[in-house]
Amino acid sequence: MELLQTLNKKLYIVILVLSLLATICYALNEAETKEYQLKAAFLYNFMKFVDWPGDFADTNEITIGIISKEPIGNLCEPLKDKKVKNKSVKIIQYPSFEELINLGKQDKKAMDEQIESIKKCHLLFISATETKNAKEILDQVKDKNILTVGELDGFLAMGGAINFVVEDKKIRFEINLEASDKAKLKISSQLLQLAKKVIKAKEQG
Amino acid sequence: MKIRHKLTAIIMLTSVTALLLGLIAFITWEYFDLKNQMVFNLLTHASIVADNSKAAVAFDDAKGAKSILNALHASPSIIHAHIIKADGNSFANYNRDANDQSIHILDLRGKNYAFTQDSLNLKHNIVDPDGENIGTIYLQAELKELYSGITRTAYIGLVIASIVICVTYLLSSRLQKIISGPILKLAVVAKDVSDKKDYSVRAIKHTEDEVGQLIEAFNEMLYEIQQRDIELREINEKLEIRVKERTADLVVVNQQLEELNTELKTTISKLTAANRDLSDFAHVAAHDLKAPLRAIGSLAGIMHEDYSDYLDEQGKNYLKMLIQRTERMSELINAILRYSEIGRLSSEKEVVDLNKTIKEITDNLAVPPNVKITIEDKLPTIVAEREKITQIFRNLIGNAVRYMDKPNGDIKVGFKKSEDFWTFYVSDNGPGIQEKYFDKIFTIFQSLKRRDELESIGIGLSIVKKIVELYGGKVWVESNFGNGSTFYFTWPINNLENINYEKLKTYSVS
Repeated sequence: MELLQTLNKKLYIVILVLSLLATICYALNEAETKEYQLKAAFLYNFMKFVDWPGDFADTNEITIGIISKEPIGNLCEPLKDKKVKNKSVKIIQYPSFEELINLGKQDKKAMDEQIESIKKCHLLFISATETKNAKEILDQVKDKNILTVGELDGFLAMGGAINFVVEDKKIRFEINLEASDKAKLKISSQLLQLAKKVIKAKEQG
Repeated sequence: MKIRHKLTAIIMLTSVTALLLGLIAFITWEYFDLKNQMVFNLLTHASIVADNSKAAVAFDDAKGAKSILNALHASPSIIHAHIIKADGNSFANYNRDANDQSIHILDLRGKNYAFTQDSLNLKHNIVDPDGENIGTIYLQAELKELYSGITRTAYIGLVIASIVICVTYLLSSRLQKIISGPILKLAVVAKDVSDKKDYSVRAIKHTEDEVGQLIEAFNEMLYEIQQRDIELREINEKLEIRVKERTADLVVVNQQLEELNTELKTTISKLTAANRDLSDFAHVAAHDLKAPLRAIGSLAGIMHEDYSDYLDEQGKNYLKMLIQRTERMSELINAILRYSEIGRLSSEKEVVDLNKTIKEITDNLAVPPNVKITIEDKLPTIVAEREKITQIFRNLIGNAVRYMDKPNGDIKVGFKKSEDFWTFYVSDNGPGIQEKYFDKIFTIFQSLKRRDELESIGIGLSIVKKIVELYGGKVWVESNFGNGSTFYFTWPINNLENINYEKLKTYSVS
């Protein structure tokens, strides 16, 4: 009997702890959900306030590439079926760069294909999971007309164009004009006004 | 009001009315223009702010939006601005008064802008670069500027209008002389003419316009009047001379007439006296003759009764004739007395019902059964001396009865009414009278029958004539010889109207 009682007590505690954990998880999850919905809205508006060069006007689609360990549904969902600049939004979810490298070890061609595909994106979102490899990814897409958006510290320093930061529990962003200039993108001055920080392009010539 | 004042007043009234109307039109136009300008300005502001704030709205950056709205401080007339996102949530808010944090929801009643009592409210959509509507900005501007602008315009307008009115007055009071001057001069001349009756003056013509024509016509008229005046004076003088002549003539004629009148009066009074003397004489003579005649008659009677045995047949006859002639003479004398008494004795007038009178007459006359007397119309009731009017009818009806020669005698009495007299008539179907005797029968002692045929002394009709003429009437006869005759006489009506009604009543009763 005593054993049973002790067991019962332990069970209670376990259940209590588990439910507590579940609640925390749910809350965290909830916060994350909201964060990505907001970020999706930001991405959507970035595309509106940024102009792409060249034959961009002739394309029917505007492609968003997302590189993350896990697919971020909350980021994709709000953007699906949207239209920007009279083009339908196409979202491609890429695996994390680590996986890509692993894939390359087995199938070099498949990896190259993926990388080529990434290079064709108009906007590339690099998730916080890629903090280690961000520099490499950015190096890959350098000189392409791609608006790179990240959510990790030092993203601009690595050569990213826009980086999300959280300030007073609010999502804001920073802009690296040097990077956007390199990618030949034109960012609206109004967008610059809203940026928390703008890294100006070096005077050329 | 003098003509020059009238002219000035007319000019002033016209120009002031025109000015005021113009001023009102200008101010009204200015008001609407200012309003339009205001809407345009505010719209410009709104579109700039909307454009500037689109990124802030898109990225949900209320702070950024607020700082953009704060730039509106540069436009002090904008008192309130407000951004509402497409989802209907209030996003950013601006008040000119920095301490005021209240949010005003502006009701535009579905329109893009609306004026209220003291503000202009306007909205503008905020669209992102893709043309997507992501919010609305509302602006509210006060109308102080509009009102002060209008007031300023009105003041300036009034000042200008006052100056223009002053200038107009100065000009019009100078310029009206062009029209009023000649008219006033003409008026002076006209007054001179009418005051002094001097038609020789002339007005001086200065211009060739209507006033000039008026002066010309006036002068012509004066000339005409002058001529007429001269003619009239001549005619007057002639007329006066003629009047004087005629007056003198008339005075002479008048004198003659007066003399004649006096003569006539004298003659009339002499005649009246003579007539009266004659009448008196006839009366007295007849009266005085009565006594000796009666004595002669009595003596003859005694002689006839007591001494007829001493007389032979011849003597007896002569005596009989003497008695007859004496009786005849007595009748004549009585007739003269009766005739002369008419007009000497007068009884009081009274109301006489002629129908009764005629009945009394016919009752007293021994009318033969073969003679019928009828009253044609109901005869009137008149005012007269009863005895006299009765005598007239008695004599006329008596004559008609007496001289009746037809087996069925028909005598009618009737009348006609004129305006102021009655015309009575007595007609018969007797022997009639020859026209040559129409006047003679009314003369005293004139009977158309021989003495022996009918006992007539020929005084009846003359008595009728005398009575009728005494009352101012006429008597005459119309006759168809052999078939009867009609005697007419007139009798004045107005007698009745002069009778007192009370008196009339008593007469009627009696």
